[in-house]
Amino acid sequence: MTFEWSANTFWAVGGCTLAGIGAGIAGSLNYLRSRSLSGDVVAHAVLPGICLGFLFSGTKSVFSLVLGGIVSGYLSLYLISFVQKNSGLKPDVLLAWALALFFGAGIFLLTLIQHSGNSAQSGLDKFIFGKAAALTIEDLLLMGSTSLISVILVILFFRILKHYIFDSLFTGTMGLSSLFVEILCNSITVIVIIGGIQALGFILVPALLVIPPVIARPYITTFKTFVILNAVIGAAICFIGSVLSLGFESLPTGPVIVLTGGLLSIPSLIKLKR
Amino acid sequence: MDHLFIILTGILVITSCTLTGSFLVLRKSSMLADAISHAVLPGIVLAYLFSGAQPGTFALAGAAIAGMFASLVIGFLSRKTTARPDAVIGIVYAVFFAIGIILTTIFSSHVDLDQECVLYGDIAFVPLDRWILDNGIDMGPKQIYPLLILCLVTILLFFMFIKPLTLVTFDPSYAGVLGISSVLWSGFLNVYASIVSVFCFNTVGAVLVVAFMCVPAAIALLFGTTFRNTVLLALIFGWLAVPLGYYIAVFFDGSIAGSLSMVLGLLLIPALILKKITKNSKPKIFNV
Repeated sequence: MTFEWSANTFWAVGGCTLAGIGAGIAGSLNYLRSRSLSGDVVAHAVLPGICLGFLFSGTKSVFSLVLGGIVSGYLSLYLISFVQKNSGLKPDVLLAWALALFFGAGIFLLTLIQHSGNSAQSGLDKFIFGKAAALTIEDLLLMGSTSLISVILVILFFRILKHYIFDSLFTGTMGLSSLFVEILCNSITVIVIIGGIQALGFILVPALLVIPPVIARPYITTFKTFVILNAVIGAAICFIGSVLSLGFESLPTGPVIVLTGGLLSIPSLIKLKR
Repeated sequence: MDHLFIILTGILVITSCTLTGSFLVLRKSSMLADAISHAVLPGIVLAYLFSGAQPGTFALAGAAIAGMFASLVIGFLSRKTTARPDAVIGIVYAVFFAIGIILTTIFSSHVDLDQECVLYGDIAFVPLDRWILDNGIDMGPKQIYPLLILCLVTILLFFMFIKPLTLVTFDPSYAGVLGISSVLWSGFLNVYASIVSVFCFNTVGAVLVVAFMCVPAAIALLFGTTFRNTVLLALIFGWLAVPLGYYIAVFFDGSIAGSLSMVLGLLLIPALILKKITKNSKPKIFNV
């Protein structure tokens, strides 16, 4: 078991760690809003957008795929809150509904592309299943910038987020529309997921948003420390997991990161005992 | 004929899923269906590993055990810790799925498992694998039979246990007074949901089981006034969606499971408009 610190390893570990920072931040916001599983829906909902991005541009250029993914991921969250307001259905069943609708449409489009005989499509599923071991400098830039954007947004709107999450009635009386904060939180979730999918794939990236808040939960008392600790924990899980997986070479990175996080959350779950 | 068999498969799947999923939706644990259908992966991989070349029943049993274990862990952690229940679901299914992928990678030389098949299902191939008797009589596609048995058992259990399950769902404290344990019955429901998703995932795929379990019930909830007529409505929506989704998939030459789930999801939109037009007042019983 030799560990070689090649350039490839460096990109992979660096990319995953950067993605972990953003995921921790988005996760802390979603956890406090009881929306931990919205990351799950977004991660599945980017698929039709990626397929449409490919269909319109005809190439696998990162820009068109990411743009498509952002649009459809955001649309899924918007539709959930729109239908919730107009139907009275509970959020959990609407999460399941949006997941079914978008992922079903995504698989449908993916098979259309695969059957179309377009040779450029091969490797489109790499975007979906993640490719941590083969991250390039462009992927690293994408993951770094998504995390950076989420950090900047949270710092800029820190007070608004804090007041809204803990007392939305109060922010309402202050004249702050809940729409704005919802858009803010949803945008952070979507861009962070897009960054993380590159490394972990769509099924496992939601875990990056769910695990850090549970680990951090028993140790903190204020919103500020919660968000910061989540970012640190997200980065730490990804760093440890990716180093372990690349050290054991044959193991896939995404699952090892998730397993690391799962093991690290056990002490916190014990501390959270009723 | 092949068309009919695929549609029949879809209808059997959606009937079993809807009857189970209606309870999950009303208990506000819809995403549990999603979690269970992902969590079966390690069970399948281990079953493939131990049973060798001829998995079949072993794979089903392994998957069912993994699914049940995951649902019990989720139930246990949500009851015993103060962590948010949805976060618990998210962690448990991801860890199970991760273990499944790691096992697949470690034993890739022994396990002949197609990841795409697990994720997307292969309902289109149902008519190809036929059960032919020794004297040459064609009994139809093999996969129909387990699904038919599952469907009949689900209908039977639904009518046998509708009383305690609805009671535990709508009024757990009254159920407790009557001596009906809500922990026991919700555990039973979760375990049965994992069995149903195991039977269904090799036709419709792991990710889309949640569509078949929850979406028909979600649409029916817009109109239903009692539990029984909501379930009936959900079944009707589901049965309508199957031929519709199938012919759309055939027309465009796309994935059948994907198109079924897309059609189910899209059906909510006309349903919502219809509800707005008719100004159907919101049924009180579901306003929990």
